[in-house]
Amino acid sequence: MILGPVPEGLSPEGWRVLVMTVGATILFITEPIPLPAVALLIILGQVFLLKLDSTVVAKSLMKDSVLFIMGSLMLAVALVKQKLDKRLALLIVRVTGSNTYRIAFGISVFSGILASFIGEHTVAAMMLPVALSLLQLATDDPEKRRALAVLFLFSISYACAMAGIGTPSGGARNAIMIDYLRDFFYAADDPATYEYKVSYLKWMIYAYPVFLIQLPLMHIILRYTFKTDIADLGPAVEKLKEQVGKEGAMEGRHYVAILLFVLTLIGWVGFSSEYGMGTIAILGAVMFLITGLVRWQDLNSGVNWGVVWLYAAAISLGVQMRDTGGAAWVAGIFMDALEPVGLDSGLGLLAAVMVLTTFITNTMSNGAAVAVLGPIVLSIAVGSGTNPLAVGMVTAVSSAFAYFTVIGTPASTIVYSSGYLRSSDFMKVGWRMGIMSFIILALASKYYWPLVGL
Amino acid sequence: MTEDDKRLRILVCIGGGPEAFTGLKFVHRLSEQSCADIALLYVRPLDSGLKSGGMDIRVARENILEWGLELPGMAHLNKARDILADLGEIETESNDDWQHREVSGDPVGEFLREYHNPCGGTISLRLRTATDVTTAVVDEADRFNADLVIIGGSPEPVEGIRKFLTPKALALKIASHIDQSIIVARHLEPGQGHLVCVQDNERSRAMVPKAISYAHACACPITILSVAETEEERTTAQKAVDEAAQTFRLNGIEPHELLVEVGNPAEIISELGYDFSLIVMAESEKPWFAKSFSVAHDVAARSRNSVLIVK
Repeated sequence: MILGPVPEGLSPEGWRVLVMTVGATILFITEPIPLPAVALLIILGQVFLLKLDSTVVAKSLMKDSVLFIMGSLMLAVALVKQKLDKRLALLIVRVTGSNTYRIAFGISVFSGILASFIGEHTVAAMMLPVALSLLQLATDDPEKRRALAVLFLFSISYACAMAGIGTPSGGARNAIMIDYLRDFFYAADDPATYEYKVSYLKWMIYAYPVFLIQLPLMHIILRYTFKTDIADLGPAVEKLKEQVGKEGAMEGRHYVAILLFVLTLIGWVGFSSEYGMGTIAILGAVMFLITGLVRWQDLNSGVNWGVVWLYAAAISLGVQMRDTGGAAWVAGIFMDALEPVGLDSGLGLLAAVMVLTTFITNTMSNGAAVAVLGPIVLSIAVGSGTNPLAVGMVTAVSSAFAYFTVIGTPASTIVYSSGYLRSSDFMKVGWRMGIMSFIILALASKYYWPLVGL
Repeated sequence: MTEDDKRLRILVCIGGGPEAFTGLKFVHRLSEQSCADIALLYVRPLDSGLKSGGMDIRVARENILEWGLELPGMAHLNKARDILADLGEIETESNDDWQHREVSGDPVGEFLREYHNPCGGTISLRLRTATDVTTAVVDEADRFNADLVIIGGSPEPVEGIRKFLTPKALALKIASHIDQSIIVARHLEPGQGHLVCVQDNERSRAMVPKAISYAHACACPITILSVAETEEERTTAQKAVDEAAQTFRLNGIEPHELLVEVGNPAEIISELGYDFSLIVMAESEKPWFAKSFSVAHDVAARSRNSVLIVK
């Protein structure tokens, strides 16, 4: 493709960037080589194919969103290591009682609210043993246990996935989109562009209600898709209380961990516009290290640093797509395809972006999906005269609609590792979830977002 | 030669479906006759980084272990252990400790648990992680020094155009790569006899003594079959059957039936083999990448019951 003729209306550099993007996307999905190697190839491609100075490429790799990804991953491992999950389990069953569906909904609510602030992988890793423990205590019958497992595990993973869009710190994809919006549209000397520097609170105003409305609907869908014969978990709940009770009262280190987490949260809400979300996340992780709540060895082995490289390289490539005109050219092709069916502007365009993002996010991680799609959809927004902020929000939110496959979201991958779920379970419930989420997001973008100035 | 050296060493791969669990009755039958050392193996593919969003799934697995819960592979292995215990293969006093080992560097991936059977053999439960399941099974068979590997095959063979569109079944992939004799198990119930397929060549002759030892170990009735591709080759096929029958008789086994057929070997063997517990065949001389085109592997792919490829 690189040696082939450059399409009309596109610069040679833009063509090379597009070829690299297509190649990287294929490698993301098929994984014939280790994923971090894809990141390194993107970096090398920018130097050798685009003839960019290596220092320029190196600088383009490190952004606030990348710092945020590193910091939040370290925080995730640090929080899981505090063993607060047993206390959380106790809190959930105290609130919900022993009714199976109430427990499932309680798991969703707690998972969702936590995941909206600290990332879905953290919450999924903490809640997985809670659910597995209840299953093992509930029944020895493999069929009944699986029926219960499907209900509980999807209650965790889907709640985490849809909550991840609630706040900027909920997932890497949000930080990536915030970076794109700021890089592409914000200019310090132009007050008209200030809306593209999205603050933590503003993101929450746009996205949190979308998550909250979906949560009970998700529970209803799960309840009717995965029915269980075990209506009451009374004995299992009692045994769980007994087991957790043996842990004794919360210790000082637990209170310190909760305090550090709350301070990090306050930092994100109050100071991320000034210092950046990444800085606050790094600060939080450093505080956990300084106070001795977590060892560097634990962080080092629990975080997959290759993924940080991958996001950094994908974002850097996204910037090149914009700079070389590659993103605008692809956007033009999309616009030409959407125009005859009336989806080239307004709500129609938002719906098309939703479908496109949902498709891509089900084939790769949602962060990577936003990193790849971001420059293209934002260029489409500019070309069509649609508000780029709305298009960016729709892309970030719909990247959570990865209900159909195991690899769609980190939370799904984590709960799938329990061995109780089958790939076909995701398809069975995924289409219902997809339709529900599409409708909610479409309604929010049509009626709610204009009310809050988007 | 000590008693331990003579003991049959059987590696059973658990996790590929229900067929491996069904095959445990056959393993018990072999062990009853020869007091086998049995290894039950579950291989879990290593978790991929990007899919877990950057935080390794290992963190979640460690958390599960800290709660005192078992990892998924452990549950499968425990189920297999319970089946063997019900069959009387494991001594009643139980061993509840999983010992961690690090064969390929995953701190929460690899565990071992050992039991003894009443005749003095060992039964080990092995949980491993690997990027490639085939490689891990081949490696474990070598480490265990296995004489026989049993892996569950897909219950229904893939036929027609689907055969060319679907990826090769894991059991067949392992059968191609492994150096030890392997049973691709489907409905592997002992008691319906072995169909030993022979040809007039050295590989087939070398296979017969092993087929005899498995027949002794299983105490199963034997039928010998040779398939000639053309009518002209019938005499050669008859010779192969007679030679094999003589060797069986010399080793104290009277074959139940001697069969010579003409036609497509893989088709005929699969069809006639349906009535037996096990079809026994010699491994092909072809390299691993071409084994699919050999009669033995073709039979393993298309049969509806179990096939033993003797190596």
